[in-house]
Amino acid sequence: MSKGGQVQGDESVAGEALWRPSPHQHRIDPELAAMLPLTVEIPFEQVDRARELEAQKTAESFGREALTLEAAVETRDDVVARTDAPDVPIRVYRPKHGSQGLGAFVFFHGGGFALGTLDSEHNRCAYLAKEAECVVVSVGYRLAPEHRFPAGFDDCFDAVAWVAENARELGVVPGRLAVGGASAGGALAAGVALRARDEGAPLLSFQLLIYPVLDLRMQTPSMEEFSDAPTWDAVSNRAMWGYYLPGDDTDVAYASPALAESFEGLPPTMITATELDCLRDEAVEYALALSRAGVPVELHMYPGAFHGFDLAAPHAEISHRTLVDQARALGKALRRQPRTE
Amino acid sequence: MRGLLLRLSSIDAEAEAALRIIAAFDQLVAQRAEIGGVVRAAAALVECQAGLWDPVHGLLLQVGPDGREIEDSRDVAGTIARAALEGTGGGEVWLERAEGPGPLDEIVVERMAAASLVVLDRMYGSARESDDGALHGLLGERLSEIERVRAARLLGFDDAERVRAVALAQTGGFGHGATSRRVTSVLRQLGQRGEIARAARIGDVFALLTTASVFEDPLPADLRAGVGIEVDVLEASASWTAARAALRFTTQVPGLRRAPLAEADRLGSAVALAAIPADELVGLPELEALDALASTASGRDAIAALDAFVRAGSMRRAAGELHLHHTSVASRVKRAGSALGYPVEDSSCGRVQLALTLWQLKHSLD
Repeated sequence: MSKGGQVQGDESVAGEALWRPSPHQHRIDPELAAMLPLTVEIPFEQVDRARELEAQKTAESFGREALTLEAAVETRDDVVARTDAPDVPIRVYRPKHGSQGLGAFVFFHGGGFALGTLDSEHNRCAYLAKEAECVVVSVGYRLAPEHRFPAGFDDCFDAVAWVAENARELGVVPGRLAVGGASAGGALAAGVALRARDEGAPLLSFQLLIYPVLDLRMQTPSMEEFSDAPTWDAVSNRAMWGYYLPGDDTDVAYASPALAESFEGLPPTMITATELDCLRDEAVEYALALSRAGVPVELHMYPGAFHGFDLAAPHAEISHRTLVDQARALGKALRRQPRTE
Repeated sequence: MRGLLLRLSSIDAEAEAALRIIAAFDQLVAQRAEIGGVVRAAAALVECQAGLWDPVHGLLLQVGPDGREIEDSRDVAGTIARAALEGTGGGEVWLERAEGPGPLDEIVVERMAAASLVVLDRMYGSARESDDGALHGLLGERLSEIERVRAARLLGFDDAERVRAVALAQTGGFGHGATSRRVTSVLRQLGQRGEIARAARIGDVFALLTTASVFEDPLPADLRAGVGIEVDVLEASASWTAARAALRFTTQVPGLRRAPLAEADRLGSAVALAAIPADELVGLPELEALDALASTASGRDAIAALDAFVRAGSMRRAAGELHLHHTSVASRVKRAGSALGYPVEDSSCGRVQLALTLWQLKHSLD
């Protein structure tokens, strides 16, 4: 991301350092640290440029890992049609050799509410479909700042409701439904889970929050300590909320799940947090808040890891491990008897 | 959001890419990565398979471009780049890619080697320094007894242990990764049987020293082995000499069927033939005749028939072995005989056997 408007990376070779070590460099997992010299920063404040770069990088790495997964997972693009709002693009991943009785996992990509597409997290979706043995539905929700909350959020909620209603057509067992997301997608997932609890439907089995955004207040100690950390920082975080929140008197409870008054009745939850991340504390505090409210919670903190580490270094041992942790928890949750109350 | 991984191939300037590669390996060392991290990074950087072999500690790592370990399986492709791990008695790192080499492979493999040495040093401490060359020293003939005792102990052998040396070579033109993998699988098999086994590359073959008295398991494909005599560990060099000699009897030569494993114990006196210098074998008329025969397909068939006849003792048994009619065998044997210059069917098979053996030995020095 941009520090004082200066863009690093492709364009800055002559006369400038190719990369700048982080203030927290000595704490970073060695395999992740090794990739920082090969990481190009995306200037979040320049949204269009950021989207361009992001799309370019995604295209270059697209399917590199998924090639090995292609044999095991089939994908198709579809839409969630609505009468009073635009169609929501979705991508459905289905394991080719799964047993009968598959659950469904609806996933929201990250990107600070403003970046990211159905292609951004293709590898993770394919991996989870195969290893957790479930149908994964990735959602192409509307992006800020063009579409502020609750547009993208409603897209996500409607997609989940659609999956629940069309379970049989999707080849999914009704009642075995999970939601999840990475980074800003985690905020969307947690918000969807809160609304589903409040409205009584759809019934969710599980939520998976991957280094999630959760708290617009930005007052945690980690927000201060890791204000300048690799790949995500407080400046970008503030800009993100600026793009996303409507700024009028709209109720934003579902936009910033940490503000919820009660966490009771939320589905079993797994949260992953990264140590060297301004978002670390809000993830851990959310886990604690849910646990105190009687919600079964699994929490993984990855030491030496920064935000989005598994995308920056997918080959690293710690990246393999987090995917395995996610797949195991998700698969197990979806295989349990559906909740009936 | 965030910073995204830059694909090396998308960087136009090689100089820039090289700097980034150097920085990446510097980070691995500075941040105290473990050896797996070094190998995974290499594979990910240039999107290929990467491997490491440290014979001193029997450490073999192979990963794909996604960083996941590759099982011991057949080759993906040839080795496209390799670098020695100095001072590890034949240890090395390498890259493999089906599509062939890329412009950054050399610098990646060189940095990988340098980083690996530092990381291995840290993992094993000064023990690596003292292990260095122990196997070489024990198998060579130049160490004093005290030095040999020390070398044997460093390798984990008791002073009075009975051991055999084995010389291992590859038959096909495969990458170094392939041979190291196969040697490691042999080490593992022996280890599972409770035997001590240590290996190191010596020149173009692998040397193995083991407590095993019998080589039971089948050799991995494309490996051939010469098994030395059983000796006290302090006399291992004698077993190594015998193993090197026995290995020559496994050389594959057109027309001859020879087992990939030869044991000095079973060769008997024939093993002494391996001591004949190469010059002595040049100019022998029978060997030149065999060379001429071997240059054509029908000539190679004649050699095969002669070899089978000599080993089986009769035309009929040879025919059975070759799945041919005995008249076909007879005509091929006759052709071989006319090339050699005497009726091979009548003369003592000892003369022919000796010729074929010396012919194989001559080619084992190629």
